[in-house]
Parts: sequence; C-alpha cells; structure tokens
Amino acid sequence: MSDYDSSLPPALSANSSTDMSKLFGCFMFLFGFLFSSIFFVVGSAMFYLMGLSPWMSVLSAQSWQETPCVILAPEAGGPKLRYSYDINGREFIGTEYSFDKMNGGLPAENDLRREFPVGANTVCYVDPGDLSNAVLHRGFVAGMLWGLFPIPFLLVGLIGYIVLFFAVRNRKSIGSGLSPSLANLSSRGETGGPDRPSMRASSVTAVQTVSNSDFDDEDLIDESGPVTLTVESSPLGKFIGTLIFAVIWNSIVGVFVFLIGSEWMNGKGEWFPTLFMIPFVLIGLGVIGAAVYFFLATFNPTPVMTMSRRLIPLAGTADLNWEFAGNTRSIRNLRIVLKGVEEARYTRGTDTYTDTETFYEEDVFNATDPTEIEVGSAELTIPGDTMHSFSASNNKIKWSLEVQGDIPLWPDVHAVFPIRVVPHE
Amino acid sequence: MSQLQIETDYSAYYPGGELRASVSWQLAEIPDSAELRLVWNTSGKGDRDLKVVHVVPLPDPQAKDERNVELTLPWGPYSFSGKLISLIWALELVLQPGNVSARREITIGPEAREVILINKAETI
Repeated sequence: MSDYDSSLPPALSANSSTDMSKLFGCFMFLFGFLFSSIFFVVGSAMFYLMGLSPWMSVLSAQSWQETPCVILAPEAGGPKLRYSYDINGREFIGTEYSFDKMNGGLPAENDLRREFPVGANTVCYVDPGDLSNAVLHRGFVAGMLWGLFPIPFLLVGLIGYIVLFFAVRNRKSIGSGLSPSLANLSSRGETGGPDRPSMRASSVTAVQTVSNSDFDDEDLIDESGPVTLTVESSPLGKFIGTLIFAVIWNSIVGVFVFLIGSEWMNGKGEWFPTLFMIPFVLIGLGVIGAAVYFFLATFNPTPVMTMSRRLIPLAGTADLNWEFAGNTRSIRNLRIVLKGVEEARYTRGTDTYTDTETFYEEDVFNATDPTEIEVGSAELTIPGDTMHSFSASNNKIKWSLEVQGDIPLWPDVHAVFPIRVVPHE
Repeated sequence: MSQLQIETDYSAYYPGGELRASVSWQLAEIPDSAELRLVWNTSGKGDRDLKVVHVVPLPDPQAKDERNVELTLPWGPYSFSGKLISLIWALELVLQPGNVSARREITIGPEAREVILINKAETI
C-alpha cells in the first residue's frame, strides 16, 4: 500500500449539488414553465378564437338555411351593417357579415354601401339551432388568415415545454451522479442485480455491487458484418429546422414591422422604434437566406457510407465504402475527413454555451476524379495514442467522418457521420 | 474528529486491471452505513459530469473500522486531459449520516497513464 494520506478531500459524489444550485435550478424551471405557459395558453386561446372557431363555423354554416333578408339603415353608434329577415312570421335583426372575428370581414365603407345599399333585398344564412344567429357571407374571407398568426406563439410555448422536459430528465439522470435506484440500493445495502465476480471485497461478506461503466465487456461486443453509418443531420432536417425558426422569428418581428409601418402610413412614424427594429429584421432576412440555402442543399447528391465494423478500437482499422445517391458530376472535389473533437457544454448565468476543440483531423480520402468520387473505398485507421469516444451530459469526445464535396455556385455537400471508437482491444 | 483514509496498491492502473484498496475510518459514533464508490468526474471548461460506476457497501460499520476491497476496473473511459476536458477517476468513501467522506484520485489508462490530447497538426 504505497499511497497513504490522512487528509483526503471530500467525495464529489456525496456533495455534488449545493442547496443554492438546486434553488437556482428550481427558480429557472419555474421561470421557464411560466414563460412557456404564457405563450402556450395565450397562443392556444388566440388560435381558437381567431382561427379554429371561424374555420369550424364556415364548415358548419354550409348546412344553414338560405333566407331572404333586407338591408337596413345603420343606427347611430351601432354596427355598420344591419339586416332583417323573417322566419315563421317572426322578424330577426342580423349584424354579422361573416365569421371573421377580427373585423367581421366587412368590406370598406364605400364598397359596403355599394354592395349592400339600404333597402336592398339579398339573402342571409341562418343557424337552424339559433335563429338569431345569421351571416350574409358564409364562406372563407381573407381576414380569416389572421387565424394563422397565433401559431408561432403556440409553437414557442410548446418548444419551451419540450426543452423543460428534457432539461428535467437530464438533471434527474445526472443529478448527483448517483441514480435514485443506485442511491437507494447502496444506502439499504440490498442486492439489486447479479453478483458480479469482478467485484469482491475481502473482509466483507455478501458483497453487493452495481456496475454501470458503459465500458464493461458486454458494452464492447461488436456486431458482425458491415454497418451503414447514420448521418448526424440531413439537409432536409436543417431546412425544416431553419424554416420553423424563420417562421417563428419573422412572424413575431412582422407584427412590430406592421405596427411601425402603419404608423408611417398614417404620418405618425417615429425614428427610434424604426431604427430599433432594423437588426431584428436583418436577422429575419438572414434566417430566410439560410432556409433557402438549406433548401437548395436538399437537391445535392447524398453520400451513403458503410463501414466493416460498428465499433473501432483505438489503433484498430476498418474498411470504409461510400457511394452517392444522386448525380455526382457537379462535385469538383471530395474530401472525407476523420475527426476527433472535444465538446464541452457550460452555463454562464442563464445562458448555455458549447465549445468544441478538434484534437485529431486526417484526410481519409481526397480526390477530384469524378469516377473516384461516385463510388469508392478506403481503409480507416484510428491512432493508438489518443482518446476513445466518450459521452456524458456536458462533456463529450466525438469521432466522426466528415464528407465535404465542393460544388461551384451551389451549396456544398456537407455530411457528418458519427462513429464510435472504443478502448484498445 | 473524523478520520477517513483510502489506500490503494498503485496510483495508476491498466484498463480492466485489478485494484486493491484498504479503507479505514475513525468516528465519534457508529455510522449507519458505509460504502466505497468507484467514480469518474470531468473537470475543465464544461459543467462537471460525474458518474458512480461501482458501489461496494461495507456492512456493519463500526466507529473505528478498516476494510480491504478488491475490484476489477472497467475498460473505460480512460483518464485523459485535453484543451477543454479532463476525466479523473477516484475512489470515494462515504459514511452516513452526514455524508462524511474522503476521495482518492487514481489514473486508468493505456500503459497505466493518462491520455493527453494534443492536436499534432497544430504543434507542427
């Protein structure tokens, strides 16, 4: 026993989370929940009132009965549109033009008077379930498109809930580094699983152990035969993600642009809010540009990569094969790069950042010959004096094959295929 | 005053190797429970990750006690240090109540050494 020290530091696994950090976590969760709930509840209510309700009324009104009616003169201070209709000798007064809840879908004042002059005979549609409920126009009007406006708010709330869900699940799994089941097991001293012969305690009878390393023998068994590698994110996924963000961002910014624009149209425009909005508008335009870029990239040829083994040990080799789905003639140069990257995620205040650092980078393939680009193979060798793949909640060692295809005047082919490098054989 | 000690036969080990440890403690009162944990944790730029890989309960602990433990280490992850992340293995002795504890760091890696991540392309 060479190492002896009577002044050892305390265990991290016993005190990894302070009361203050727990309190801060609870506060952030409550804040996030409240923020998401406001967007979700307000967005849902607005979507129902402005969108779903009018649209459903349009559908239901298709069976309402067509009834003759007469346009009446508007009363001072009352609705702009009034009409009367008679059902079974009883007179009813209607004031609704359509199901558009925003402004009733009414035409402009002059058009209204031209289309519905006082005393004109026309038809209205009456709800058989409520004879006092009638409209002149039972179809769709352009104003009902405002029903789409609350969707971005609803999505912000939903995304907030999803982020909270994963944040809580993540926190539970890492917690103090000791899963609840493991904590209970160890504190009770009960057996929770098979008694592994690899763990023994002398001077101790009936040793109970839990193995949870992710690097036990059973974790390192490789499947036989080649495997097709899965791309980290496809151009279509990037396009959809960017498009959703662009819709949310530009919808919210668009409201303010509309309000500011209306002020200028009425001759009441102010410079400060106008200038203040410029960076937000530029970001919105940038995101739209990115969405267009990723959309064009969806038409690129797609690399399909297969490897002779799923797990490659350090200092080990594997055969790599590739082919492209789609026309590769536009690719001027193809590079396949083996990369090892450190990835560290950290929080500063309320923001989360992720830093990466490449510790290994080597060309596996680099060619300009179209016949070599379309289909090919190479031997992949992992260096022995480096680190295998490692994945924890905040810190990772990632190995990947990066495919880079240069296409002039068009978005390049760029695909990342994660691979798993394991400890030495 | 509490005294906790963890002794190991070596300070660095091969992955999958055998580790022998001797743990001892002296407390004012008899603890409710005692256990030795094999853990790894990260340090560096990222928020800390910590994982308890093995737990060896030490039954019927006395106020003054000593136990010997042998265990087979896992094949990974290796102890390593890069520009952003370091991974450190340790044995941790934890006594209850009060989370009375001690920690001894060890190295697990090929050739019983920590892996140092250097981008050779940058150093040339």
